[in-house]
Amino acid sequence: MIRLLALVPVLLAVSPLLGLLGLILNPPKDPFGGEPASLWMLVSDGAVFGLLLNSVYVALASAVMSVLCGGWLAWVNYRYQYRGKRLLFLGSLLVFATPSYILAGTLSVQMNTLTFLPDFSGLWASIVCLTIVCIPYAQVIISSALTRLSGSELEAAIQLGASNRDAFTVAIWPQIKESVQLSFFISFLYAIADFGAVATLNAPVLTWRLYESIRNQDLLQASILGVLSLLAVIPVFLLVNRYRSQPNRLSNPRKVKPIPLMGKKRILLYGVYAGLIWLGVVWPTVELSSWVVEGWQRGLSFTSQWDATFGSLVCAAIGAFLTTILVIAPAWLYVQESQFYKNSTFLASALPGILLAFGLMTLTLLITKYTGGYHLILSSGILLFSGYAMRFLSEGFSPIASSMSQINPQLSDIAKILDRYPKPWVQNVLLPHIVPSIVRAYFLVFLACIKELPITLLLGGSTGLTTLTFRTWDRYNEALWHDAGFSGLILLLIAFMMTVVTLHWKADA
Amino acid sequence: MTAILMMFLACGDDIKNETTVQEQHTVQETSKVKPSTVIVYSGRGEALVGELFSKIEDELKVNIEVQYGSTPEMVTRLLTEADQSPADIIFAQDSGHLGALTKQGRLETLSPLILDDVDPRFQAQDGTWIGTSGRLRVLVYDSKKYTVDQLPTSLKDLADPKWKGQLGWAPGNGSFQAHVSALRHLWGEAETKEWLEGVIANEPKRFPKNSPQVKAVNDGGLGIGLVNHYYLHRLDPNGRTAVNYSFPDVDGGNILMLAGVGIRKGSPNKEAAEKVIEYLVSVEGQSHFTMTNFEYPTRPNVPTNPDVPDINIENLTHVPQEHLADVGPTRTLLKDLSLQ
Repeated sequence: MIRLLALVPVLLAVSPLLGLLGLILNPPKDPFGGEPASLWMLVSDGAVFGLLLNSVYVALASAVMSVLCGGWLAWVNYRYQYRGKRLLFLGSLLVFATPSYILAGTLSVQMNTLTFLPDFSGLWASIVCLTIVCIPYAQVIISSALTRLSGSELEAAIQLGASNRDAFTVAIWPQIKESVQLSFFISFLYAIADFGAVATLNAPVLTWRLYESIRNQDLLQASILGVLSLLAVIPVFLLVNRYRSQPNRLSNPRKVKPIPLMGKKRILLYGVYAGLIWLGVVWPTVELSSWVVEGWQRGLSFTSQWDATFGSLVCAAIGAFLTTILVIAPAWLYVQESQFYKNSTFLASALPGILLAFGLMTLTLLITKYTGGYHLILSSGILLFSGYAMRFLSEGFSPIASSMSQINPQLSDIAKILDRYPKPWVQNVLLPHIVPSIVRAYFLVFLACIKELPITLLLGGSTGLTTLTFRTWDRYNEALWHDAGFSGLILLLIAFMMTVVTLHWKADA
Repeated sequence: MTAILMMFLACGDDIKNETTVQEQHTVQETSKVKPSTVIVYSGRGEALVGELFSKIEDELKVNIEVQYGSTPEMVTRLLTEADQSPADIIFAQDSGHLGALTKQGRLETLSPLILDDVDPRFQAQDGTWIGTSGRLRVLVYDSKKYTVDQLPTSLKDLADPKWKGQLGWAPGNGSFQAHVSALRHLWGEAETKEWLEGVIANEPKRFPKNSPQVKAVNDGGLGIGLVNHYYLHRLDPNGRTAVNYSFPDVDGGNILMLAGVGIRKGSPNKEAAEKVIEYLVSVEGQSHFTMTNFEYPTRPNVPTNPDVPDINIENLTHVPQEHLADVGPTRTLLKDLSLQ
């Protein structure tokens, strides 16, 4: 049964690839009469290779920096006590709420006012933006792993005279390596598939060329570039998979007692938090607010955002629910058996949303050509929520797999001996252990869905739901800054509330 | 399991959509009795046309389902869906894409009653699409930095080295591509390429779209920008320092770019779709484009917004619509110059 359930997300993740294959074999004609690019033309085009390298460079750099920074923040939050701990941690997680193109746009405007800095555009600026966007992923996933650790080993190591670094290396690192690896994966995939930040900052990467191809109605080229993007991900998968660890599985973890944070480390921590919250939350909020205030001062009318708020909540809630449910079975099989379940569920996340949506649409069209009902499927939301699930399976997978990997296997053996397996074991051991991670996964996917635009635009239009991200994009395009700011601020507010509720729930749990 | 869940979650919409599908199948027989649902693929933003479509729904008693996206994406979607597309109307931000759909045989011929409402220069020669409004290509400039007499009189002057580092443009934008297509026909391939190379040598700041250019000029971060006129009018007229400037020389600088609509070939709702289009080019519809969107009308004798300067169409560079739609070679040219 569990294998059958695990097969659903695997098939979902593979289905856009089948659609892309359909597009490669039977691409729609260029309405402007242009010749579609052949595979050979693309492969022999040095510029494409350069863009591919740039993509990998941006994704690797962003993933490494976000894991280093987010991991360090998670560790400090776990190990130390300092003033404003909860508030700062919460504040830094609010970066989740900021769509990458809004972050890039506002940073670009603000940074370019600082004339002593170089022009904030291109690859380095994209790395800065994507690092900021990805830091909360590392924070959430790694801190989720840390909270389930027993503090006994760490405290014992320190009492035996080990330095902090040695104690961390021996007692902590082996147990969180899995989570670090997963958060690296998520950040890498997010960065390689991102279009919002790289387009706003004019970074020459593969997704930029891919979007140009779609804009030029060359779906063949877009599909081939998408496949190249996937191929670029595979070596990283293989490399990181080699370092998979077996965490020390404890059945009854005792939380570590935080120690006061002093000296330079404290200054550094406040500096990092200040930078992150300022760049990722305050600046975008101030910029969006200034648009709203200006509109209000000019007496401009604001579009009601009730429908978009409702639409966003419905889309994100359903998308996150389905995605979270779908990843439980493959996460379990990944922990128990094989990397296959992780690799396959992560694969679709490497595709930019627009291409994933076209792949899914093409596959559906191929089927409904014989069965009919294309519009019915489109307007029912099946494609939209499948698209969300494919795009964000990796984000739901990581926290859940990470917590499952820390369950002591002896507990299930004991349950079997006592004939209390599987139902009582699931109810009394498995669920209490993984439910906080499921909530975190839901929270991550909810925020990812609520910010998502290309899939929502292409596959969600027929559902009759309007979203806040759509409104922000639509009004920004038309220079209606006051309305764009208004919907953007509501989006931030929802994300803020989601974050507070999730952390509060965790505290209760 | 997923499919069952999805169907369950979507069942509220299913009722509506089943009705919609049924209606689509029966509209030809019963269109005079039952209101039909017209599906619009709109490359024009909700901010520009959402309110207008709501008004049309109320006044014509038709259901309109508008699906928004960028024009290239909507056209790509229409072509990918081909005969399975549910779209009845395609509403494009630029006439180039409509012309391309005509070439592919994807659009129906519109009723002469509709075509008669609009200036013949603003519609397809074969009547497959019609312009609904126009945006003038202009130079937006920072009035704190420049006076009108310091500005170039011709588009060609933008290749002058004196504009080095001062200019902004959005070469990926549909209007820009249509503009270059027109220039290729007006100036010839060689001269257009030479001009583009001259402008590139001036290191123009590249923007993903027009609106941030106008904002950058208004904020003092950019000297001049090649844009469409109407974004400027969204800024506060009391405090704005950015000003639009229309090239006085009739040599390709001042072109009116059209947004327009067509009906998908094979649409089961052609009759209702034509009623919607008829409204778009009526005086009421045109007034929405002029007064709310600050655009120029395609129907004669419709007043423009007081904040938008009147233009005499005779003083603009006249470009046949098929030249604006000749985007294929333009893209090759832009790609050769690394602008794509």
